[in-house]
Amino acid sequence: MLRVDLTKRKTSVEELSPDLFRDYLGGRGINVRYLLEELSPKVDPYAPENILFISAGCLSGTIAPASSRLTVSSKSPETMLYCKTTSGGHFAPELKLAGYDGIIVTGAADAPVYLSIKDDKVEIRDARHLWGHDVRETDSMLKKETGDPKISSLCIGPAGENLVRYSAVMVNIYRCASRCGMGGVMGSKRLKAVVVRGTRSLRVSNPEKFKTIAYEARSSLKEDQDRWYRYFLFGTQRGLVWANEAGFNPTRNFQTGYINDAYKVGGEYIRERYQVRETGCGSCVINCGTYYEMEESPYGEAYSEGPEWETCNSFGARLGCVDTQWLLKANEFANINGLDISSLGNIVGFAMELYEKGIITKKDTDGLELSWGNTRAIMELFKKIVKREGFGKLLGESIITIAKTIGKNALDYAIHVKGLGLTSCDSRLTKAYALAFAVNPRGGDHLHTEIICQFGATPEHVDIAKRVSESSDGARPLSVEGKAKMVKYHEDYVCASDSLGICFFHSLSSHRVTPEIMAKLFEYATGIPMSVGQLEKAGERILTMERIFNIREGMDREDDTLPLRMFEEEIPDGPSKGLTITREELESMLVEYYKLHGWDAEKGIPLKETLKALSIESFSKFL
Amino acid sequence: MYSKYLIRCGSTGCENPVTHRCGYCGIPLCDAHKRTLVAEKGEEYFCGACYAYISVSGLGKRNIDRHLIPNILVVNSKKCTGCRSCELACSFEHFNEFSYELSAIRVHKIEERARNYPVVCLQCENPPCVEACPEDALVKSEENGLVVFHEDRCTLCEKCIEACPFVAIFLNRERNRIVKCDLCDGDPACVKACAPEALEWIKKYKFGERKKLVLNLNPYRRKK
Repeated sequence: MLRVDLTKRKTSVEELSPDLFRDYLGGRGINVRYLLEELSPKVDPYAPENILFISAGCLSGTIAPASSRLTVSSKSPETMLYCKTTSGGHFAPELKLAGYDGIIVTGAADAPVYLSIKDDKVEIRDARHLWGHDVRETDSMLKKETGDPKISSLCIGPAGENLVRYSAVMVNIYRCASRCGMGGVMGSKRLKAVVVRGTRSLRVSNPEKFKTIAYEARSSLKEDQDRWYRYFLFGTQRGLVWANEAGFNPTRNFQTGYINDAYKVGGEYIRERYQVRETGCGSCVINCGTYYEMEESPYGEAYSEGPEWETCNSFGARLGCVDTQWLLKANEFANINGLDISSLGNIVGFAMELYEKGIITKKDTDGLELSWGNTRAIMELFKKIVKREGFGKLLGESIITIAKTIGKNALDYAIHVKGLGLTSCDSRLTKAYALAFAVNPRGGDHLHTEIICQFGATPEHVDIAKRVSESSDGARPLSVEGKAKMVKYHEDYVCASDSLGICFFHSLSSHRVTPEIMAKLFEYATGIPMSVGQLEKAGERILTMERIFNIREGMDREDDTLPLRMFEEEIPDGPSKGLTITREELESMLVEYYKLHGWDAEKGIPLKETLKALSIESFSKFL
Repeated sequence: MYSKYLIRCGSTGCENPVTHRCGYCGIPLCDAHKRTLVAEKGEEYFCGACYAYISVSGLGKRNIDRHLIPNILVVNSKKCTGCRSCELACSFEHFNEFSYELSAIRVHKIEERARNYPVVCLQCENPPCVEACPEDALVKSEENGLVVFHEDRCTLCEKCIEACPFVAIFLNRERNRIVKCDLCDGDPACVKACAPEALEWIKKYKFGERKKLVLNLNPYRRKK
């Protein structure tokens, strides 16, 4: 573990004990453990006292399927609660091969700096000349400066520098750890970038067995062509048209679930016209990334990786736009300026609804006509947000602050959980997601538990859904039966998967890298014995500690809820017309969920016995 | 900056006027940097990297009769997603360690444009590295066409690295050793690890089949 004090401009290295890996596995787990121990409660996320953790997964740098996840953790400026956000790319393997499991950044520099790591050589360098440049320029300047085109970079764009509360950390230019505003935390520390190059090697404790298991897992994913080959061809956005037909493609700030001509912002259409390459993160088997080049359009030239599902919805249906060329331009703009696309789409969509309802007028928006689908005006607004000018100054805050500043009944239209905008899946249709969004420690986000098996897309998934939920309704998204069990199962293993650094597309979403395989991979890599039970327990431990962190920051059970619109409004039209989720349904799932975790069903606080069973009694002082 | 890797690749680091475009990747080329292949429909011009792939893949006329290697590793850089699994698989196979620097195959990435160029020894017909080696540490095998590296004879003079037109022989400074592809005795680990099938291992290929394989790219690719 590399410790960097930006105030004193000093670096040091500390050893991690094997016990820590046994209990917390790696990346996400170790981050939350350090965060609870070292961060004092209720600090301002933008204060120098806040600590930033950048950790590679335990298996990063090996051939284990998609083992390149990087976890960035800190206290979030967007939700004021716990934050972990993960990214792919090549930063995590490089960091591991340079000999570090993670970086702890404390303090704040007085002038912009960047951190350069090449094996033993760690330097804090001046970055005043990089400040103000976008992500692409920064990356190429860094490559020129270090004279090594093979470095992996992690940097922030102008949005992060201007402390937009939902700015992203961009990894290898186009990959990002986007949610919860980690870019802002880096910006507040004046840490423009981290570049790393690892030329060492990594040994595993049992190479023969590790090789067998890793290759088995890789080939089983490769054989699952029916499903995953489409992700390779079209990227995640290939499911968007299907989601639209099923009626859960959130449209016009979640007013409905269906938009006409959605195919124009779907993966198939984009592939046919603009996509040039497929891309993948380190050691990946699925390779869901896509890269496009658009030479001519009314909005100018654009090239970037993406757009992914979230982009296609956030900049598409959610803003009432079905304009491919605009989508591609906006995607490039958000990427190179380092913005979180989901939150940006959510907040601009929110502002547009307020404009529609007459709560804000042209006077508030600096004369911008924020009607649905007005692409030019939206682009102007994006630029204002990045620069924090005029109306953009307000919109660069978190959604709760915006709603409170605007006043009236603006808060009723804000689609958020714990202050984080919902991702692109309508929770009125999928009860498991509804519960997962409500209880997610970082806010309304699908990356906490990607419960794909609830849709029962393949016979295999139906079996898994039925087995996990212990109910025949497991694979029916509209039923609440057994959904709490499903959420718990998935979140425990997603915690484990994140900590090991394995992308959950490979693990919990495809169910090809099963918990058994994960446990074996961990055992053969580190030499620490690990069973499936222990892995699940480690996942639960991580989750409980995240809960403790949030409770310490003042979160209570009332925050485990959904946006008002989900309860009060039925979906008015489209294929999913009339669907809704009631407060009673959510309440019944929540009670079951708390009981499964051994938390107090009325307060949502972990019980003493639970902490003891997880051997983390020492943290009960924070409750 | 990339001139080191795309050594024959036209405009990078070269100031001459552009006269051609690479027939495979489209990079602009000057007269000095173009590589010519005589194909069925006449002369075609390629950049150094593409020339490497195409010339061994059987597109070029000169390979039809002369190619000795019965089995061959085909690299299709258009399909490469840049996941670098091949690099880790290679070092794991040979050294039981994971390291990008111990790998005999390297993916050179231009991240901004999402271009990835896997570079690996092509087991040339008339290998410049063999000619350059003063110690006979590199030998072209009569039996299977492999360029075999004998570590015990190597004095680390680095002449082979300078000679290789594709920069496909690597020096690991930490271990002080040369790393070169040996095709894993006929079962390359990189091919097993490559999910998007940018690397293919083709056994007993015939010219016609090969041509089809290399040209028949992704059906969904963008058409100009």
